[in-house]
Amino acid sequence: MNISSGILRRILQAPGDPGKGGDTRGRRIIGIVAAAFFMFFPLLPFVDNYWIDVGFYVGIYALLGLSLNIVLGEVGLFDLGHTAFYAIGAYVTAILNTRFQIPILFLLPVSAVAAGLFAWLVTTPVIHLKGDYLCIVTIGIGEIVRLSMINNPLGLTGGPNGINGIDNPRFFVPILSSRQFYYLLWAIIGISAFLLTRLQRSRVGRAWNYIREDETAAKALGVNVRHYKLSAFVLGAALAGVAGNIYASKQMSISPESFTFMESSLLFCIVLLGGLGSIPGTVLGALVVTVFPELFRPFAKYRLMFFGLALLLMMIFKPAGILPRLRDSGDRLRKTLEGKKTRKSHPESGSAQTSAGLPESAQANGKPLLRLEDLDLSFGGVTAVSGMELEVAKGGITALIGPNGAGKTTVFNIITGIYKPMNGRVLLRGEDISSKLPHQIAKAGVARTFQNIRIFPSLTCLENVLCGQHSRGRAGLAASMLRVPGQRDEESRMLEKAQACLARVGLSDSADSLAAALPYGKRRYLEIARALAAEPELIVLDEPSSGLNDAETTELSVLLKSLVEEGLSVFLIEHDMNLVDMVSDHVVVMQSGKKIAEGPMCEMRRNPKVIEAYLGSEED
Amino acid sequence: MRMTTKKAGLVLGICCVALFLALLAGCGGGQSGKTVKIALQAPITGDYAYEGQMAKQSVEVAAELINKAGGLLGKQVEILIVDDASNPKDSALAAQKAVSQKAAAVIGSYGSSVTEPAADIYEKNKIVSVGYGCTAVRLTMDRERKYFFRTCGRDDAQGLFFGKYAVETMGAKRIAIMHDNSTFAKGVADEAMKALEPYVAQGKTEVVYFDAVTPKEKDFSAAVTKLRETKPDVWYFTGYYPEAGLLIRQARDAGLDCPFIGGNAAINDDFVKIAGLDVAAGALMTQEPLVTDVTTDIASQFKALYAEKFKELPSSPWPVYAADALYAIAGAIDKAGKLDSDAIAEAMRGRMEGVQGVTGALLFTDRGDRRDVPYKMYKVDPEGKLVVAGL
Amino acid sequence: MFFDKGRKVSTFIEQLVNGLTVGSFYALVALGYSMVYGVMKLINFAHGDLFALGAYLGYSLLTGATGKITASMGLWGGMAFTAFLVALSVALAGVLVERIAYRPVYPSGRLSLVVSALGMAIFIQNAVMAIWGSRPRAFPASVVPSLRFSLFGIPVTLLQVTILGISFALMLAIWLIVEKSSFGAAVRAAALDRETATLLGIDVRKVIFFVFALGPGLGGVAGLMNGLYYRAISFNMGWNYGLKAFTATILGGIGNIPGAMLGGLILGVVESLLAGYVSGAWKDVFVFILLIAILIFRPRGLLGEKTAEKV
Repeated sequence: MNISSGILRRILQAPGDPGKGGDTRGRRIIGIVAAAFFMFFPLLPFVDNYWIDVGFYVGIYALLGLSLNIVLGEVGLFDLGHTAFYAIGAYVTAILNTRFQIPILFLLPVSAVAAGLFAWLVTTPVIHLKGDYLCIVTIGIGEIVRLSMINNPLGLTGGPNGINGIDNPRFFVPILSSRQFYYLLWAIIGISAFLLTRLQRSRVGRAWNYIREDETAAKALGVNVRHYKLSAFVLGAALAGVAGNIYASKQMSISPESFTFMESSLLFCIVLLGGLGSIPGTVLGALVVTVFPELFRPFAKYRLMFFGLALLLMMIFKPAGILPRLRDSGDRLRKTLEGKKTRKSHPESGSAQTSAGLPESAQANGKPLLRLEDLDLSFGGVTAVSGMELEVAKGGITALIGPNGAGKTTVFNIITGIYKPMNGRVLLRGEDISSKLPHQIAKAGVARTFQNIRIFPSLTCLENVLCGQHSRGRAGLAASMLRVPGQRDEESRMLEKAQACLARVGLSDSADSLAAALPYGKRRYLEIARALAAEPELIVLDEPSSGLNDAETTELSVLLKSLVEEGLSVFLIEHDMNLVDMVSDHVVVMQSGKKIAEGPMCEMRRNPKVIEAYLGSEED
Repeated sequence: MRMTTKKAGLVLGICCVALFLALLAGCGGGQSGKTVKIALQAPITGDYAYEGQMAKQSVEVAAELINKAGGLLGKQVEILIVDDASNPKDSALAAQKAVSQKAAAVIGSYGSSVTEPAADIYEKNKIVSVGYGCTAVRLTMDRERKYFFRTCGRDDAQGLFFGKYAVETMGAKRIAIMHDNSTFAKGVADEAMKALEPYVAQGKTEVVYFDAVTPKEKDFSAAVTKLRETKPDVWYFTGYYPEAGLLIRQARDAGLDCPFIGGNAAINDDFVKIAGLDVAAGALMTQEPLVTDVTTDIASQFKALYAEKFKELPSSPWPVYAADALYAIAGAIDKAGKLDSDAIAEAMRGRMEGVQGVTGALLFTDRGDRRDVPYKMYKVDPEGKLVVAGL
Repeated sequence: MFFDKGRKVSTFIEQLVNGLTVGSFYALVALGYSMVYGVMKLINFAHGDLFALGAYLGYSLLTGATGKITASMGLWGGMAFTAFLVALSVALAGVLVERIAYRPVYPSGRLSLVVSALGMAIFIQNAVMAIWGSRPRAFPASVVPSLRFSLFGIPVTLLQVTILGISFALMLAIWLIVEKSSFGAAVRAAALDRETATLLGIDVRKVIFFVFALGPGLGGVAGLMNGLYYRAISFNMGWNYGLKAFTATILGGIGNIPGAMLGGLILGVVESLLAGYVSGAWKDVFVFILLIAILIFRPRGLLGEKTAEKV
């Protein structure tokens, strides 16, 4: 009694506990119990074929839920047309099987590839759309697919009747009975869940989460947002295609009625009910959404009304879902990397990669590290920056100051590739980077922090900092799922670096806490640690002292100086003139989008132009 | 702390009990000695819920009549309702439920693409199922199913009837066919098109319009304006009555005055209400004999009891075919003398002489289609009632 | 090619009018979406079903009291009174929806709100079905004014003209309220930046109350007019109108009031022309392809302004 209730308490514990990332032990026990339940469910004495079939459809929705979870849960993209991919999988299977008698199980990967390819084709042109705009596009894709199936293009889809006479699969023996289908499907779910869990604990899975939490920060820290959004869609669609294949062979006939907008909304609800990004949650969500209406069938008329009400109540009382995703602690991450064989000896590949893109030799050679030439940018006629020029010397601290609205942050955004200048060049080590994308610039060695802190609130501090390391790794989907040796080495290297960076800013103790739980001042440090983890040559800080008290500001100045001593260059926007005075070697003053003066801080204080610019605003 | 532990335990306990009860609920039954269980698979919920509800009422009325007359093999008929929500996935589950609850035979279901997966499951489990609203040709003609029958007519029969009537009786030179992209409506429309091919080849007529409207929409003025511009002599709409009612009224408003012929799901009392009597009067409909016209004993008993219980008659023809499916099953079981599916199926095919349903004799072809489904052209009279127009 | 004869031109104009009629309903529903979205950044999926609720309430008011309302106040007076009652009760429903389904969920983020909104939509739709039944209801001919005449050679009905007139009047009224009145300024400020608006002394709760009353109230009246115009209403009619109105909202630029109107009208006209000249069966496919194409080139809709990313 006490044991079970203890487990239950652990499982149901509130999401985003301000404390630690969560207790995974309770989860693991329930996971084992649940796996055992699904394994033995069809063998229970009172379970007849009807309930096995209910179990099968729970499985279909679980698989679809997992596939949507990649897009919606991991990356946070509003996909309300996911059944389109499911439909493509089902129709590809049905058409190829009935026309060419290709065996169903052989078509399983074919359906996955077809659905993935379709997703790639249709989402590539629209992937840049934001939130609700992407949402309506996915709804549109869902409707286009369904209506096209109905309209029977080229006589392929059988129109509103659909396609019948689809074979059963053969896996050594023909798979016919409800029980066999059940096990086939749940085996696939098991494998998928296993691989997806590995993805969650990898560079790829984290990159998805970074995008969900804060797209701009992810971009600026080196995540190729477009690539990862697309890869999520493709992988999600492929998994939905697998579900379509199994569904078609179980039903033996398919018709467009199975692929409506309502189904897509149901999948959306499954993921949210279970808990965004939570694999066990999604399976549980599928169980609830499938079994609940079955239990309420006798109330026919009121069934869906109850269902709507249940969704509502759920979101009011348990908005994070039934089994919210627990973040892994650093120890957990490390443990998962320790396979049976730990290969520690890859020093040569290791160091080569770490310093990718960073010419170590670049000693202070007189040339500026960063040079802005004649930058212009205006927004809808309002000039933000015009004719801006400046240089950031290597190995020093350069400060950019100026009254509010002078265009300082805009300059930073141009440097980091968030805005494209209309004119002018941004030269990093003499190379023009103004046409590069933010993640390429991050990889080239520029890391930044933000004026309005942009941490990833529902990830742990360690995961936040790991974001910086993203651009220094390269393991992709396959490597992460298969956990090849190279990927493991890379992961443990990233972990080490991230932990070192956390230690650097004094946040080691908070490594496993959610970033949202940090006090304000520490969040600034977390951002700095994240930027440091990117192994930059130039670190760009946007008002790092804002919101810090005097003691903290002094601490900050010490940190900044020590960074420079290690060979890093710092470029910062600052309003706190004391800090600027304490740390900066060179100061650039901006007003109305233009540089009005530059030189050491002491000169700037006396410069009449600067004084005029600051007139009226307290110049400390 | 203690409290939370207790509470958590309680929640866990309740969950377990609920799950257990849920599982128990699913395994009730087996063919008990006292009754003969016949399942009705119908869309009790979902888009066609009104059809499912009426089918349920009709079958219950028929069961009551059969039980009053002494039941089946000396036992009472018990109707077991399984809901398919007019959705293929729910249909497969509903069918599996009927199988699990050991129904002797099944009535069902309404839509063709919904019936298809269910028919496959019944076939696999060797249970006779009799469809009542699924008219797609391919259900019986694409593949041979041993245990599948239906009491409703087939799309092609209706299409053929329409073609012949439109060309030979009405002398239409320009024919417009409109459907709503649903399984049923597209099926009838395609079959009507096929039926017209020989006439077109002979130059007797031409099809000037063949297109779909979107179901559940309200405004079809663009479609009817386009239709008007094709100057049809006859306009055949094969979809359902909500759209039919809107279509005819909007067409008349747009100045299209050609005769309107509805398929057998297009016209009922609600059609008249939606269109308005002024517009609805004169609309034609290709239809099997309606329950109101059949004067057999069974029909009048059925009508009387139905009206007594539900204060009205079914507003569409399909629920009556559901009742007839029950009569067919009962007749076959009676002839077979046992509840064995093979014997029932065999009796359905060859030994149904004298078995009567609400709509008349219930005879089936080897493929499982109902034999001799007569079609008639009905017409909405000035009072809004459907009367036979001729042929 | 459609213009080679006068007849074809008049047919084309007729199709445009048809499209404007459909479009004005989309626009009226879209306004509610857009207003709520502007302030709350929330897709109120229940909005379409509130529209259906308005249609059913109007039906019950007009037929339930055995025509007493129209009998005692005359056809048009009764109609106006009914519209008033419907607007009031659906506005109340809208405010209740916000209180029950959205307010407690705001802190949990936008995804939870989407599910909460979907849940509310499913609930309202099925509650309507439970109360009024699953069969479509028809407004009796006696309560619907019917007069057909020809306007410049195009057959129109008096009702069509009236409804078009009322729709445009309502849209104009809303536009004036939002663009010209001081309260409208508060709404726009809240839409732009809630925090700053609060700092400037705007009572954001009042604004929320206002949009959740006005949007659904308008939707309710649109539902009633829709029922009167087409005569038939069904419990699931809100879904279709909701989806199309949402499409219209996005097309125009979400949160943008004139954009919602423009989006609705364009969508109606495009649908009408597609159904009239291309293919009824493929109509919605082309509509969505067009929408996607427009969004590729104008990612924030037709009237949505490109705003710089706030970093």
